Amino acid sequence: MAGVSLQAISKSFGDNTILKGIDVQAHSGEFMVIVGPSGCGKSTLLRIIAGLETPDGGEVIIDGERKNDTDPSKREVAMVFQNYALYPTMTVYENLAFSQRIRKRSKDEIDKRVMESAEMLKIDELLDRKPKELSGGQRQRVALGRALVRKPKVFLFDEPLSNLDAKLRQEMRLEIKKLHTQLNNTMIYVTHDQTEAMTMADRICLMNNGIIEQIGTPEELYNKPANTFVSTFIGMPPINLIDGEVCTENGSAFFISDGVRINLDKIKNIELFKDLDKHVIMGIRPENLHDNYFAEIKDPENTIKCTVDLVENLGSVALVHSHSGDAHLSATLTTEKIIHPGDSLDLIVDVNSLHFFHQETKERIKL
Amino acid sequence: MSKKIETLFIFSFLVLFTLATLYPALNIIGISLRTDDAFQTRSLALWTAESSFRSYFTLFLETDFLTWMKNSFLVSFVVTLTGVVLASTSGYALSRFNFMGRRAVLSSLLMTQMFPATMLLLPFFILLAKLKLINSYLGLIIIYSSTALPFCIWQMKGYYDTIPAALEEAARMDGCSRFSAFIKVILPVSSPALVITALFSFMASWSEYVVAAIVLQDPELYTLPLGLKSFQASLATQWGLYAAGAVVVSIPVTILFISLSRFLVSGLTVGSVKG
Ligand SMILES: Nc1ncnc2c1ncn2[C@@H]1O[C@H](COP(=O)(O)OP(=O)(O)OP(=O)(O)O)[C@@H](O)[C@H]1O
Ligand SMILES: [Mg+2]
Repeated sequence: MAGVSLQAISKSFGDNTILKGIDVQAHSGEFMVIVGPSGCGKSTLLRIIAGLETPDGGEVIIDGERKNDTDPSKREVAMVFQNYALYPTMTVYENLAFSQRIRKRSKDEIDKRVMESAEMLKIDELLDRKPKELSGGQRQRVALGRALVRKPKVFLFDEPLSNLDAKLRQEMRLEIKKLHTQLNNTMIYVTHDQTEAMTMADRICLMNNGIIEQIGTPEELYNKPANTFVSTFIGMPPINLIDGEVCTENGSAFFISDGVRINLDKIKNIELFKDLDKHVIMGIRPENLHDNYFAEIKDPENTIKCTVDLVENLGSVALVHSHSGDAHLSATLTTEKIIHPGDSLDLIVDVNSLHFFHQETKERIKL
Repeated sequence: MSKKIETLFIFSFLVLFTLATLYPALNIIGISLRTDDAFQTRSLALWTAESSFRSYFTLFLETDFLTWMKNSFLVSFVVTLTGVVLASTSGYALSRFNFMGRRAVLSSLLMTQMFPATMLLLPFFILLAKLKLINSYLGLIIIYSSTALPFCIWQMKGYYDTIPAALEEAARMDGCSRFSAFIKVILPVSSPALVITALFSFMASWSEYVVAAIVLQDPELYTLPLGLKSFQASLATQWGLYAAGAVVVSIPVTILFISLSRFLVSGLTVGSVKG
C-alpha cells in the first residue's frame, strides 16, 4: 500500500494561477475525496498526481518516492476519467487487457486478471462488446475495470459518476466504496458533489480557488467547519448564515440581528465571546431548527418567530424557507403538520449546534 | 401526397445525375470493345456484331502498357505511403502540441492550396533540374507528395482534434509512451481519416498527367497517363486501344474505392466518451 503526499504544489496556466501551494496527504489505504466548486483546480491537482500535468513548484511523493519527473506510464497509478475514455476500437476485453499487454504479461495471467476484474464488476457478460454498444453505466464499469486490472498502488477518480443519472450514481457510489473496502487501496476521488464527498470519504479535502479550505473527516467538516465557505459547501440543504452581533445584557450573552435574538448562556465557553470583535456570523443548519409546535420543552428565549415564504416537499421532510426580519432561515421539518406560505412559524434553535464565524475573516470561532 | 411528389422529385434528380455519370463510362467501355475505331458513334450498344476484346489483347501484348502500369503503381505506392506516414504524424503534432510556429505552419499549409499546380510547374521544373531529378521517379514522388500533403495534414489534424485527449491520457496511464499511445490507440481510431489520406495521395499520383509530362521524358519511365497519351501521338489515334487503356486504368481506383468505402464511416469515436 502506498500513500500520496503533495507538498506546496503550485500551478499556473499562463497568467492564471490555478493551484496556490497545495499541501495534502492521502494516507496508505485511505479513501480521500477532493471536493470543491467547479473550476477550483481539483482536476488539475489529480492530473499532477497522475503525471499528466507538471507542477510549477512543489513535490509529488507517491509511496515515499519523489515522482515529479516520472512519466505517467511509470507511476503505478490508475485513473478513471470523467468521460470514461474507453478505447473505441477495442472490445471490453481488449480494453481491460490493454495495460497488461503493454507490460507483456503472459496470456494466462492476462486472462486471469481480466476475468477477476470483470467478475468483480459484473461485466463478464460484456467482454465481447465494443464501448459504443454499452450503456453509460456499463461504460463506467468498464472504465473502473480497466483501472482494477492493473492492481495499481493508487487509484485516481475524476468525477467518475457525473455522467450518470441519479439512481445509477448512488448505486455506483456504493459499488466504488465496496471496492475500496475489498481492495483497501489508496484512492483519491475528485468530485464537486458534497453528497458524494460526505458518503464516500474517509477524509475530505475541500478546495476553493486553488487553495485548501479544510481537510478532515466528513464529521469534522460538518460539525466544525473551518470557515463560512466550508459550512455552506458541506451539508444539504445548505446552512443558514446570519450576520449579527454578540452582546451581554444583565450577565447573559445574546446573539442579536434584525429579527433574531438568541440567548447564548447554554454555550459553555461563553467567555470567549467577550474578547471578540462583536460582529459575528452565526450559522444554523436547517436540520437544527425545530418547529415549536412539536417541541416538548418550550424555550421562548431561543425561538424565532418567522413567516413562511416557500415550502419544498421532499417526501419524508419538507424544506421550509422562511424569514424573520432580514434573516432568511430554511428548516427541514416533518410533513406531519402542513405548512403553507404566509403562515407564521416558531422555530426553536438548538443552541449547542450553532456555529460562529468572524465577520471579517469568515473563520470559525472555536467554542 | 406531397411526400410522394418529394420522393419522385428526389429520384428523378438522382437518376438524371446517375445517367450523366454512367454515360461516358459506358461509352468508353463500348468503344474499347469495338474494332472499328468508331468513337464518334452515337450507338449506346455495348456489344455489337464487330465487338471483340482485340484492343485489350493488343494493349497488353503489343504495347508497353504493363511497364507503365508497373511504373504508376510504384510511384503511387510510394506517394501514398509517404502521404500517410507524414500526414498522420505531422497532423498529430499540429493537433496535440503547442509549439512555436504552430499557427504559422498551419496557415502556410493552407496557403499552398491557393496556387493551382500548373502555376507551380515552372518553379518545380527549375528546382528538379537543379537537383538533377529530372527523369527520375524521386523527383515525381517529391512533387506529388508535396502537393498532396497540405490537404492530408489538415485533414488528419482536423480528425485528431475531434478525438478527446483523455484517450491518449488513458493509454499513457495504462503504460504507453507518448509514441506507443499514438500508434496503439490514436491511429486505429483514426482509420477513417487515414483512408481518406491514402485515397487522396493515391489519386493525386495515379491519374496525374501535367507534372509527369515535364518530369519524365524517357518512355521507359512513363506512368499510365503519359503512356495513354502516347497512343494519341501517332498520325491516326487508335481509339479502341486508347479506350481499353482508360478502362484498365480506372479499374484499380474503382476497386480501391469500393474496398475502402467501409472504412469511410465516420463516428468511430462514438462510444469512447459520453454520447
Ligand atoms: N490546459 C489548460 N490550459 C489553460 N487553463 C486550464 C487548463 N486546464 C485547466 N485550466 C483552467 O484551470 C482551472 C481549473 O481547472 P480544473 O479542471 O482543475 O477545475 P476543476 O476543479 O476540475 O473543475 P470541474 O469541477 O469543472 O471539473 C479552470 O479555470 C480551467 O479553465
Ligand atoms: Mg474537473
